[in-house]
This record gives sequence, C-alpha cells and structure tokens, in this order.
Amino acid sequence: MQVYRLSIAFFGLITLLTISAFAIPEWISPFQPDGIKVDLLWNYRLPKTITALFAGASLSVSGFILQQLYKNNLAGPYILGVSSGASLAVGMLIIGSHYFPFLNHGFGISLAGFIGATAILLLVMLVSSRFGSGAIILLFGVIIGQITSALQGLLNYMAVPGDLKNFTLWSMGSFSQVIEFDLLFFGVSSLLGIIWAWLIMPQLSAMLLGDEVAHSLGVNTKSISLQLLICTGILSGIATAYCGPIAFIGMAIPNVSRMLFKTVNFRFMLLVNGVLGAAMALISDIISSSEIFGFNIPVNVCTALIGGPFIIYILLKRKQ
Amino acid sequence: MYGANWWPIHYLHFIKKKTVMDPILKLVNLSIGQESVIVDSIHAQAFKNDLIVLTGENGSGKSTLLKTIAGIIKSISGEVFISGDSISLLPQKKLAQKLAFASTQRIREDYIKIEDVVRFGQFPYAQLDDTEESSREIEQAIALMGIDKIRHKYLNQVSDGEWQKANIARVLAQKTDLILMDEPTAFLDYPSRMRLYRDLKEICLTQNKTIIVSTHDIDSVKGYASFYWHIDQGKLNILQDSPTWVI
Repeated sequence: MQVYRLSIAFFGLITLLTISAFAIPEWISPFQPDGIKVDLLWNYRLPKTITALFAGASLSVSGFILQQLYKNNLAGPYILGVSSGASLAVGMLIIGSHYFPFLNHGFGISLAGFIGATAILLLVMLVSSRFGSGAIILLFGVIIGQITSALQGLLNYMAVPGDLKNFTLWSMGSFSQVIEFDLLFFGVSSLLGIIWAWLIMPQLSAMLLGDEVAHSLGVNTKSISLQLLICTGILSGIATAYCGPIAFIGMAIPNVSRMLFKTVNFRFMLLVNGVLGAAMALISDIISSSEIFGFNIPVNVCTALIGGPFIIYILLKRKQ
Repeated sequence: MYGANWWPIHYLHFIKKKTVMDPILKLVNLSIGQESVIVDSIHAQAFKNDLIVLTGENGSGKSTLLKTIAGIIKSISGEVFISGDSISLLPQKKLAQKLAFASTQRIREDYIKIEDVVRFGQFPYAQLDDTEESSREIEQAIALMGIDKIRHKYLNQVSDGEWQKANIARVLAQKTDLILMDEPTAFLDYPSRMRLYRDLKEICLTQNKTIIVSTHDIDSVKGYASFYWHIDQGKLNILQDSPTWVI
C-alpha cells in the first residue's frame, strides 16, 4: 500500500519534471533542430529543473531530520534560523568579494553556506540540550533570524550597488542561478548528504522512544545527533547557498509525509521526503516561471503561498 | 617464534565458571550522581528470578541509579558488573543485549503502532530488517503480554495501561537477563498497577529474568517483591520487607 502511494508520488514527480523543463512558460521540444530555443532548454531550463529537484529534496530531508531530532513538528531549517545563518555567511561573501575578489566563487559560496548553517545548528543543539526542544528552539530561531537580518542590514549599508542587487535577488530565492560545475557540485553534495543520512536513519528511528531508551538499545545518541547535524548543515547550507533562503519546504513537507505515510521505517520516510520535497520545489518553480502576471514570481513567494496556509492548518490541528 | 605466551592456557582466561548463584547484577562501592554525589558506597547484588523494588523519596536518586546501571549516566566511582562483566568495558551494543531499560516517558506519536514499539526490542540484534528469528521473538513477546488485539493501534489511541504493556513487550523482545523499569506505574490506576506487578513477577519466574522497578507505590507491589532497595539520606538499604516511611 505504502509502496503503491510512493510510486504514485514518484510518477507525479516525473510529470512535474517534464512540465517544469519542457512546457513552462511555453513548450520546447528537445527534438527540434538546433536553435536558440533548444539552447535555452539545455542551458537554462534543464539546469533550473534539476536544481529545483535537488534543493527541494535537500530542504525537506533536512527538515525531516530536524523535526525528528528535536521531536518538534514545527522545526525546519528556515524557522530554526539555519537558513538565516547560511544567508548571513553568503551575504558576507558576496558583499565582501568587492574587497576580496578571490572570494566570489561558486565553491566558496557553498562552503560559506555550509559553515553558516552548521554554526547555527550547533547553537541550536547547545540551546536544546540545556532548555529542551519545545517552543524555546523555535523562539531561538526567530531571534537568530532577527540578529542575522540586523547584521545583514549593516553589510548592505557597506555594499556597492551591484553586489547589493545580486544579494537581494539571491535572497528572494531562485533555482536558475546554478549551472555547469556548480550544478554538478550541488547535485553531488546533496546526494552525499542524503546517502549519509540514509545510513544512520535506523538509529534516528530508535530515538523515537526517547534518547535514554535509544542509548539502552545500543545507539550512540551523541554521535548520531552530531552526524545528523552535519548532514543537515550540508543539505540545507548548500541548498541555501545556491538557491537562496527558501522557506516552508523544509517545514511543510515532513508533516505532509508523516500524514500520508504513517511508518517508523525512516529510510522509507527519507525517500518519501525527498520525492515530495522535490515535487513541491518543482510546483513552486512551475508557478514561478509560468508568468501569470507577465513576469517571473520569486520562488519564495510561491513556497510561502503554498506552505504558509498549510502550517497554519498544522498549528490549528495541534491545538485540538 | 610466537613469543613466550604460545601455550593455549594463556588464552583461556575468558572461560569463566558460571553457576546458578552468580549474580546477574553486582554493584561494587558505587557512587552515583549527575554533578555531585547523590548516593554513595552502594553495595548490592541481584540474582536470577529476583523482582527488586527500588523505593525512595522524590529526588533521592532512584532514576539516577537505574540510568547508571543502564550505562546512560556514568558513575562517579565504583563499578557495575552485569553477569560478571564491567559495564564500562562492554561495548554499547553488547550491553544492549544484556540489559533493557524502560523510561517513564509516555510516547503519543500518531504514526507509531504498538507493534513498532515492540519491534524496537530487536534493534540490538537486527536493526530494521526483520530476520526470521527477530520476527519470532517479536511475536513471542506480543503473545506473552496479550497485546495481539491492539498491535495495529497507533500510540495516540491507546491507554496508559496498554502503552505500558507494549513497553514491557519491547523489553522482553530485547532478550536480556536484566530489565530496568523507571516508574512503570506512574500513570496507572490501582487495578492496572496490581496487574502490572503480577505480570512482572510472572515474567521474572517463568522467563528467568531479573527485574528492577522503581516506584512510589509500595502498597500494590507488596507480595510481589523479592527485595526492596530503599534509598534514604544518600544510602542504599536492602530490605526484606517493605520500607516504612518516617514522616
């Protein structure tokens, strides 16, 4: 039954992939003779689609890991301030590259994203180990967001106009900035992060019974938590570095998967999250580039419009 | 050629004579506590078929003692031996096959089934993939606790009593000689408590287990306990009869 549902989701994903790559905003056949349109398809649309696929999967997988680790269904890379941390680090890099030009490099940006994300994750781990993982870590994330945006303001003040515009566009979220080597690097690191998470999923599932019981079942909870945090740092940090801080996918999709597939087989859940996360990113991308209003809507606007009402629904349901 | 210790007798030190009267659990001069010492110079032993009831006031160190025995908290000094092996030298996975721990925490997630909880008991042996042997152990534990009818219920739909049964089935599926339970009756009503202790005693005798249970509930455990370990003013006293409270 569950495998059946997952395969439906998978076919949905393939359909979305096709629409996103070939049909939006207008149909381009990959088989027509060479021309500017086919060029557009291979050099712009396909990289964009693949980026959306990896970004969606990475963000929802890291959201799933964070929610299970902190046993808090509202956790996610965006709300815990992980994306803000990555954002600040990338902002420093983009704006600092005016003074130190060698910094402006795809690899440097992703490294900055990873470092920023992991730093915030370590802070969150510290806070949760002292004060528990209920509302406090969510509040902590909001405050981290405020602090980083204040620091960002300071950076913006120092920036030159061109860099400022680059950074602002980046922070609206976009899947279309990643091409060639960057795309390869992004894809490989996302896959590695997901594979690493896949290997330690059974241990994470044992932590459902509480950390102490998991310890007595032979799980080294400290090591597993740390490994999961690094995984999350890689996945959400690099996705944020390349596509901008994208909200709601990381929080909404794990909840959707948990509602659709009630299972403690976390390896299966990882797959589900990957597929559904990629699907949501592709839907956002399709809406974003379908030119409803005559121009491309930023991706973050779409994810917020889809994910926002859903989060409110979760909150209301939790209240009951 | 092979050094001085070539004769097989040098490698036979791992063979130990085991008799019925060897203790399953032995605490030697143990001091426990998280940051400062709560209870010190604990000397105690537990044998096969014992149901030991751990009592003491709130904050006296009952949970800390159980978690120290389970290896979750490190002892401040002294040693814990399980079937003759010091737990500080045992790898965590080996320890998980000798000792099971159930915490007070009640889990209410709406996507975990009773059956899944029991299945986690086989985690130290076969992580997520069910082998033939592990599914047999799981079925056995479910049958023993009589939770076959509710095995497909989700944890948000079961009562506290049913949850505790699942919890006990889980520790049974872990196939350990020693079982530690931290206040299993905390949320149960009086008849369910009586039933739980009766079940635990039966498990002790029929399955050849040693069970240590911490509780405040001396009334319903009466008649089932082999010994009482009573923590009072930083010392562990071993009593034959139920402790009386001095107010």
